[in-house]
Amino acid sequence: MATSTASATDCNETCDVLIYGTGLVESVVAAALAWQGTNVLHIDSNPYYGGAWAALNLDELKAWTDRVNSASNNTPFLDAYLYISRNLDPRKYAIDLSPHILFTRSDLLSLLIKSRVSRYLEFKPLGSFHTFEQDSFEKVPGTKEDIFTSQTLTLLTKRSLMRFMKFVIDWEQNTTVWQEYKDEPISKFLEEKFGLDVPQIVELVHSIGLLPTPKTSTEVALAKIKRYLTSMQVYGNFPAMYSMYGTGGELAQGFCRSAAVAGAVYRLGSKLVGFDETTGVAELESGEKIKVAEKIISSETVATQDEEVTRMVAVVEKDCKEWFAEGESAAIVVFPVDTLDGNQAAVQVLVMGSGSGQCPSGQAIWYLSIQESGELGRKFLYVALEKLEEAILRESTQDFEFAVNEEEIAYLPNGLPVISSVRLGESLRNFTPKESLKYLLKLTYSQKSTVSPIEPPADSKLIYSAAPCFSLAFEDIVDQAKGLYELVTGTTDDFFDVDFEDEDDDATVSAAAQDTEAREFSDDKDEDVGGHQYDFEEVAGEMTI
Amino acid sequence: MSSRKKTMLKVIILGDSGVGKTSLMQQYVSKKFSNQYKATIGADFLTKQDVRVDDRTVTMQLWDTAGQERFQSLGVAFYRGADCCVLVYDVNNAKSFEALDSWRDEFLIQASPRDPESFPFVVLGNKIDVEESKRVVSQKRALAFCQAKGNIPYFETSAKEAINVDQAFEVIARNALIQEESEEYSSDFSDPINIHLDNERGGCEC
Ligand SMILES: Cc1cc2nc3c(=O)[nH]c(=O)nc-3n(C[C@H](O)[C@H](O)[C@H](O)COP(=O)(O)OP(=O)(O)OC[C@H]3O[C@@H](n4cnc5c(N)ncnc54)[C@H](O)[C@@H]3O)c2cc1C
Ligand SMILES: Nc1nc2c(ncn2[C@@H]2O[C@H](COP(=O)(O)OP(=O)(O)OP(=O)(O)O)[C@@H](O)[C@H]2O)c(=O)[nH]1
Ligand SMILES: [Mg+2]
Repeated sequence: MATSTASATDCNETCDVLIYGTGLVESVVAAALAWQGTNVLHIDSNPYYGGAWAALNLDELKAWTDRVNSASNNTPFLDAYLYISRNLDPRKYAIDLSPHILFTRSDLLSLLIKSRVSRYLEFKPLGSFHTFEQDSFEKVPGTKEDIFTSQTLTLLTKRSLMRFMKFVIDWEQNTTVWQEYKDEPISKFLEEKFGLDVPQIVELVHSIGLLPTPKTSTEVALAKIKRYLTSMQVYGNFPAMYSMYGTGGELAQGFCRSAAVAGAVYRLGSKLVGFDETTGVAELESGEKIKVAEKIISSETVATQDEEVTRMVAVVEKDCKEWFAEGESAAIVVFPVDTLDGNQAAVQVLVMGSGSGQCPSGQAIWYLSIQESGELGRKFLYVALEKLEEAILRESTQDFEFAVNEEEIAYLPNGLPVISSVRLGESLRNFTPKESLKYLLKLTYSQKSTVSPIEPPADSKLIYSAAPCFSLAFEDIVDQAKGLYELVTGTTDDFFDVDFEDEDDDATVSAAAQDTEAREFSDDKDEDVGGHQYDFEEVAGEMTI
Repeated sequence: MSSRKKTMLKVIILGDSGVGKTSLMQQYVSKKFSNQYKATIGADFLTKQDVRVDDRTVTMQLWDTAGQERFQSLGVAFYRGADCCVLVYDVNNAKSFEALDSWRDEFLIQASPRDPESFPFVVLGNKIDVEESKRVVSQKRALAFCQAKGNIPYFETSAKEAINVDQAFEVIARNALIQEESEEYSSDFSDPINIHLDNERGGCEC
């Protein structure tokens, strides 16, 4: 297999566009260009796809740690400390270097469907968003029914929340409400305009909006809060999903396969060592030369000192099912600002169970991150880790008994009983577990934002792509890809304007699903939205609040 | 519980360039054959619906390599979740036969199936329609290889003359189904989201 001489000389010739790095953005561009008819050569210096977006097995992770800590580090990562306990099967793990989730109503998902790359992927639901508060995890009320069945909200709060949720669904149109708060902190807006209390503001900002701080400007924050709410009920009772085995890396590979189907040539393990602007000849480490007719897109940028996210990955010997919704295998836990000895940014935790394909059963992976640099960032992550540890030991313990009184049970309109989470939380808090938690792997590292190593002139053949975003949800991927596409082709009009000749209509059907407006909160129209969604008045009437 | 669930089997087809992987898939799925050789680009995967396996009906997804194997750049995602791996060689090309072992190793490393010993492979010796004098790999030699690798089922096929193609894929489907079911019971199983169904919006799984 290693000797494909004919093809090697093949590639020693020409291409229109050479793309260096198989990160998500580069891979989207590769597919877009290949389908548009551009002759693409796509290479990566690593023996795997995904670059800074990759999910690595443990052997790859060790090599990655060495590279990140070496003098020749050319990644957006730095300061990696890795601890791996003995006797783990390296191939049973996929450690996601830049974990991300995908909201069900987002431009990236629309593109995945339109390009039919979604057919290569297996998506799993993510419906559990918890906020850490006073030593317990509160499940975020993300839907109307959550709000109404919540045992912890007063009627007044429920009304205020409802009013806000109705507003935010088309906040863009209601400019009069927020215009004067445009650049003010979202917390101020929510408090002054909607009379919301701190706990609700915290949940809206941190868990629903996935924002690092309540100081985020109102304009930015409203879009993020809306993203969650309109994503609920698109495919079920969850707003987000992830792809099996590590989302960013799998999406990148899906787009690369799509590009290959359209004729792009792929070469992993090929390092680019030189490029001559005047002749347009690129040189690989192997000595091969490639004539590039149009552009080179390179992901080899340099890290800046401005912004930094500190990350921690812990593999624990607990399945963590206690934190997942029924039938799910992932959850998000957020530690708001000022809950961890003075953290000025939230610590976000993505918990992945074995159903994610990232670890063996009986284990889970905790991905913690904070937008705070080095030493200080790590300190907060360790405090959060300790709280997570306490919580999972409490919640997963076998020898804990808990008697329920009838008055602590409320009933949903459909007859299902729910136990007051306050009471449950209190009892759990007073319980000290006997076991300790076993860590099978711990990894800490930092990630920087990146810039071009040089400012290329406007007519340069060489253009640069950016490193993964810090946010937990994918942001700007499609826009970044379109930007690069436009630099090559001069337009975005034909970006993925592909008429797939297949007879199946999958793609069109699901594209329609994306176009349908979120109906859940536009309740004045009273449309048929399926059996299990409650109308405001109806629920209020049945419940004695 | 899962009687409503549609069984989708992922089958990947590996082998050297030009052995007839794409032709075999085409012959099986659309009963078509072309004499023109064009190294595969543009092939993605083919779906064959309503395949009967005993009393079950399954859908088979046959994944072609899309050209990414040319520089050993298939990537781990290609292998993930495969239920059966078909190894193809050309009976008139010794090198393509000798490569089978490394294709098999590559699969086992990349896909890392839960139980490598029992993972189903099927070997196809293709192009048997070509005149006998050109044949360089004997049936005996091929069978010896398959036996040594844990009794891999072996078929001699012709994509051109449609010899043994249906028979081979019947075994592929059956073995893939057995594999799928064994995986399902041993993992933390939950259904993936079907993002291609509009009418299931908001449907709950109760
Ligand atoms: C990130 C990390 C997490 C670890 N977690 C565990 C664990 O959960 N259980 C276990 O039995 N062993 C763990 N170890 C291993 C153990 O702490 C030390 O590696 C071991 O005691 C060997 O010490 P040393 O003198 O060789 O290295 P040291 O000189 O102690 O440490 C080498 C480097 O690793 C860093 N480091 C050491 N320990 C940690 C830590 N716990 N967290 C973050 N950075 C650390 C240090 O700051 C130093 O830069 C961990 C190691 C690391 C790097
Ligand atoms: N005589 C004969 N020719 C065949 C047979 N199967 C395939 N071919 C021919 O062999 C050539 C290669 O077939 P493909 O199906 O494209 O081979 P492939 O394995 O997909 O090749 P790559 O895509 O390059 O990896 C074509 O010219 C086919 O017509 C067969 O059974 N008999
Ligand atoms: Mg082919």
